[in-house]
Amino acid sequence: MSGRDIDAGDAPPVPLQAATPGRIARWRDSDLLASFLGSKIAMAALLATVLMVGLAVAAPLISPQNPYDPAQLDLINSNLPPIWQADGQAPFYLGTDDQGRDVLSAVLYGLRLSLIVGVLGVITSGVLGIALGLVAGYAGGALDTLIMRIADVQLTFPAILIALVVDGVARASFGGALDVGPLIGLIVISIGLSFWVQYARTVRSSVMVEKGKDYVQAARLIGLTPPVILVRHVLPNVTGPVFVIATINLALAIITEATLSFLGTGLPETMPSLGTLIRTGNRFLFSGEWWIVAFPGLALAGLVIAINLLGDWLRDALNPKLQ
Amino acid sequence: MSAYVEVTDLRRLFDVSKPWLNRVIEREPRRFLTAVDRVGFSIAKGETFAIVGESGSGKSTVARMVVGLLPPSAGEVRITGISMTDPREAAARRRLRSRIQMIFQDPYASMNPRWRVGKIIAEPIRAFNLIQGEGAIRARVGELLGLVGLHPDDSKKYPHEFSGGQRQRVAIARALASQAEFLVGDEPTSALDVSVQAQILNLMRDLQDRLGLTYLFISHNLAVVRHMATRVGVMYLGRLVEVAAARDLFARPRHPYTRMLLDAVPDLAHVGRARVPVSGEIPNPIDPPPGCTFNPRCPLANDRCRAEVPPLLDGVACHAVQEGRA
Repeated sequence: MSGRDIDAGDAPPVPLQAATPGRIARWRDSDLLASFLGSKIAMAALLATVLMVGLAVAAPLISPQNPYDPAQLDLINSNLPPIWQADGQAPFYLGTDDQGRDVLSAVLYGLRLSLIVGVLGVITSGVLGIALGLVAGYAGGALDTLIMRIADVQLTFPAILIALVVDGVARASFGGALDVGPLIGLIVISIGLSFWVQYARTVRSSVMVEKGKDYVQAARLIGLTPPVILVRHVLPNVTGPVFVIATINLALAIITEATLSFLGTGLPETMPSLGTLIRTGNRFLFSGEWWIVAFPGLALAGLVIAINLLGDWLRDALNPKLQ
Repeated sequence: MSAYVEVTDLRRLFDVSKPWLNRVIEREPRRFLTAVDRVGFSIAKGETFAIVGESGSGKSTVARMVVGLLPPSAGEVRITGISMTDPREAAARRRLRSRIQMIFQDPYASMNPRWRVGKIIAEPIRAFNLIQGEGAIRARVGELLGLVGLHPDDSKKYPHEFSGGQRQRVAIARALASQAEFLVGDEPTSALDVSVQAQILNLMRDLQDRLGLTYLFISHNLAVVRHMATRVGVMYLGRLVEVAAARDLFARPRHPYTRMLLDAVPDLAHVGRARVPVSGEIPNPIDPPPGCTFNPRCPLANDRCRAEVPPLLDGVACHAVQEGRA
């Protein structure tokens, strides 16, 4: 070989001595935390969300009454107003409904059910949408077209309609009476099938960007199979936008569950979610017992607004164009 | 000289047709772009074969087909006699897989940004099951980092904590981790500063001497090719127009295109000499000119050049050279 005509010194560079920051330090120094601390709305929304999740988790410990236990209900206590009104009685701080059920306890337990259904619904739709998005984006071609056309068709129906159809078909085929466990599963599946499209589209477009990058090619070169490449290399690099969608969809999922319950196809009156409470309380609105519907409604609105504000902030904080 | 890599009649078409519905409505046929057309060369063990060409000449496509990332439309790549495409040789190819690696152009994109460097370099070792035991793998990663001039402690860092040149060192360490003996570099230094380029090139040559590596080196930079290559192939619009030993090519370029490229290179030995700039642009590969694809830019073109495609004879594909006009 000829001499080295380009020669800028063969000495290897001095290795970088700076210590690698740990996960906690990187989090502390990150832009996300700075953005969070700079946004009063984000902090208030997080506080409200954490508070409501905490109340929901602790419901059995803090509620004055177990609203699922008929033995604890007494018709003598029915239709009591909140404690600050003339006829109010302890321990029914927010009054009672027509069955003598404590509204505060029912709201706490309902919050719990709404959150469980919402979170499970988001997980179901997320898993479904991410999986389909990964496959569509990576495989391309006919499979991609098939999945995305199904997604397009699904988007032409309102999500609530799909949830209603799934729910109705399942109930008809199981024959009316369902236990609460399977019923929650059914609602979760209806919500999952209604909301997967957004995840699939987002993930697909990110995958199409990532799969052209050389680190994916390098993974192919060492003989990794597409499923391994997708899970090990592509998935961790496309999850950023998914978290934003998941947060915003949590609010949507809770609303959808409440709507289903309000329409009477959700959770039963014996085990009410917030939506069921609003539906039953609705009947008493014009007879003066406003508290039966107002408090579940306020709880639902507060929860959804808090989660939505959190999602909005997350979306803006993770959007490099807005920084 | 037994050929380590044997490439014969390699072709690659890309479908650039409009969607089916548009074709039907606008009554247009399918359209194909010929990115690589009947390219053939061989690389001996321990040799550095460089492919030079302008952007769009198909050199990266050749590199991707050689390592097996892209299936050829026609033709064949054989490495140590094993076909990279024949399904009957899939088992043999799997054993060969670990010995062929690639160094990519962009060291920012060639590593998973969420993985520590140690894990990135260890991945091929784990994928091919070369070393058992976490301690042994860690020791091997440290050894590889030392080999490319980094510190074993660098394995705890993330790719973004390194400079471009250091990252390219990591990429080389990863390529060597699978005990590769044939490395394909797709413009491995073109994203780096000139001074860092030299370091990486010298590192690659040191490693070649120490480990007996064989290189296929893709570049558009003639200075880099001169520094690295034992033999050079010049590509123009998907075809090899000249193949020669590096020394001969730079001393006595034969194809008019090669001459045009070399005339345009600044040269310290001839300071003050007027340089002839490269004229014209590479034509659209969807609709290449008939005959020799270089004819619109060639000062020696005649009617035969505009009608007939010149074959690669004796290392050069040019009618003018074969007719003695050049």
